[in-house]
Formats: sequence, C-alpha cells, structure tokens
Amino acid sequence: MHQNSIDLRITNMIKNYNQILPGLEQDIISEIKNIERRSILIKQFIFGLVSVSSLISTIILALDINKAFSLSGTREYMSLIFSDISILTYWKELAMTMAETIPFLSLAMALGALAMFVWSALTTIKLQVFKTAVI
Amino acid sequence: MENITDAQLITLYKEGNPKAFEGIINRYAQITYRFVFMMVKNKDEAHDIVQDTLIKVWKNIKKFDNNKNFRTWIFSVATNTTIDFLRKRKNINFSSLDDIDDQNFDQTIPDTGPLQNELFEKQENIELIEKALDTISPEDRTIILLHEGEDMTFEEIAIVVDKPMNTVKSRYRRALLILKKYIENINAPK
Repeated sequence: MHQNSIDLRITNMIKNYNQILPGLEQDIISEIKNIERRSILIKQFIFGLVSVSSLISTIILALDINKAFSLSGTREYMSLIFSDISILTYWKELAMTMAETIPFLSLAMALGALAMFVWSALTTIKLQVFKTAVI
Repeated sequence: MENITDAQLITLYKEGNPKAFEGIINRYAQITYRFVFMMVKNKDEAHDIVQDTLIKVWKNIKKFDNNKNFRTWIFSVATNTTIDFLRKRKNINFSSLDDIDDQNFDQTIPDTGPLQNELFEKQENIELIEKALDTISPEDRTIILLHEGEDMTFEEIAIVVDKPMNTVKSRYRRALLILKKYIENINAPK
C-alpha cells in the first residue's frame, strides 16, 4: 500500500511537471524558414552561375557553328538547292555531302548548352517563386 | 489541423503543403520540450535541443514511413539528441538545480492562481522529482519520463531507445526503485 502511494506520487510529480515555453513553436518555424531561405539562396546562386555560364557557352558555340558553316560550304550547297532545283535528282549524293559538312559536334554542344541554360534559368525562376510564396 | 492525425499531416506535407509541418510543430514542440527540459533542466538548452530535434524531423520527414508511429519516432530523435547533448556536457549525473534560474520556476507553475501552500507544495515536488531524477542515468531517466510522463508503453519505449523490451522493463523497475528509495529517504523522519 505504502509502495503504491510512492509509485503514484512519482507518477503525479512527473505528470504535474508542466513545463511550457511560450513562443517555442514560432522560434522553430522561424529557424526552419531561415534554413530554407539560406538553402534557396545557395541553390539560386549555383543555378544562376550555371545559367550565365551556359548562356556564354551557347553564344560562343553559336559563333563557332556559324564559322564552321561558313568554312564547310554547307551554305553554298543550300544556295545551290534554291538556285537549281534539278540538283535534287541527285538528292542522295547531295544529302551525304551536306551531312559531311555539318559541324555535328559543335551543334550538339550548342544545343546542350542551350538546354542547360533553359533548365537552370527556369529553376532559378522557380526557386524565386517558391521563396516569395512560402518564405 | 487539430482533428487531423499525424499520418495525415505528414501526407499533406509530403504533397507540398508547408503549413502541415507547422501543424506538427504546434502539436509536438511543447510535449517534446517538457520531456527534454526534465532531462537537461535548463530552459535555453532544452529550447535548443527541441529546435534541433524538430529540424532533424523536418529534414528527414520525406523519408519517414507513414505506417510507423510518428510520436515514437519524434521521441526517439529527441532522446538521441538529448543524450548526445548530455554526453557532450559531461556532468551527466551531477547537473543541479543551480542551472535553473528563477524565471524557470515561474514558468514551471501554471498561472491558474492556486493557493500559496499548494504553490509551495508543487514547488517542493518539482525540486524533489528533479533531484530524484538526477540520481539515475540519462538512459534510465528517459525510460521513466516516457512511461510516467508521456504514457508510453514499454513496447513504444523499446523502439524509442532502441533496446529490447525486457531490457527496458528491467531498467524501468531498477530506476523506479532508486527513485522510491530516494524519496523515502528524503521523507523519512530524522
């Protein structure tokens, strides 16, 4: 009986130990928002950097492709098609020759850089929208 | 948010509703604080530990299996964070009431206007249970507080502390015995 009353007393003492800290919830919510804000800023910086560098790469590669097209004579073949349509009778040979003159590697790299630019720019915008809406 | 279960709140959060996590914070911050405060007995340290706990929960909530008990998980994170903190603090078994400033005592007592002697008795009980809990290890204190304070079953506590249920039961019995002895000695007529 005596033992039980002590058990009960311990239980009651622990149960009645009502610690409350006003404002704790708001502190935690603010801290989480700070962490989110910091993380978004870092992501925005990285994606912004990727956007700028991929845009520069796209421009450089576009200029390079332009130069490559001029040197390879693809443009001359194109103008030949428009000036003398009868050349299309030999379309297979023409297609093969044109295919050889197209700078595929530079073209692929430029498209890749352009895709990278579009993706990183969109992500940066999305992050900004999220930051404004949530934080 | 009050009538929604933990699992529903987690699902809502995973589906992209940021307010759902605020619901979890509002539901668990004070409960966790009560437990952590009884472990560390310092307002600021308990605040930081609860904040760390809920940030850890927030960072890992997307990986949480909704079929499991969320309360058990949150207390397991709180327990690990608190025990890590106590290990760092080193004076695990010797933390004293000196850590608690007067403001803490004010907040300990709910402002419901009780009579002076009731207030005094309550204060005495707080001091007594704090001193008694200091005589047991943080791991045993965790078991006692979860069972007595949070009404957790031994099965749930075993998950929280990641120990077999029989170990939890025997540690609980042993710790309770130490607490009883301490209180009996204090109350024994001199």
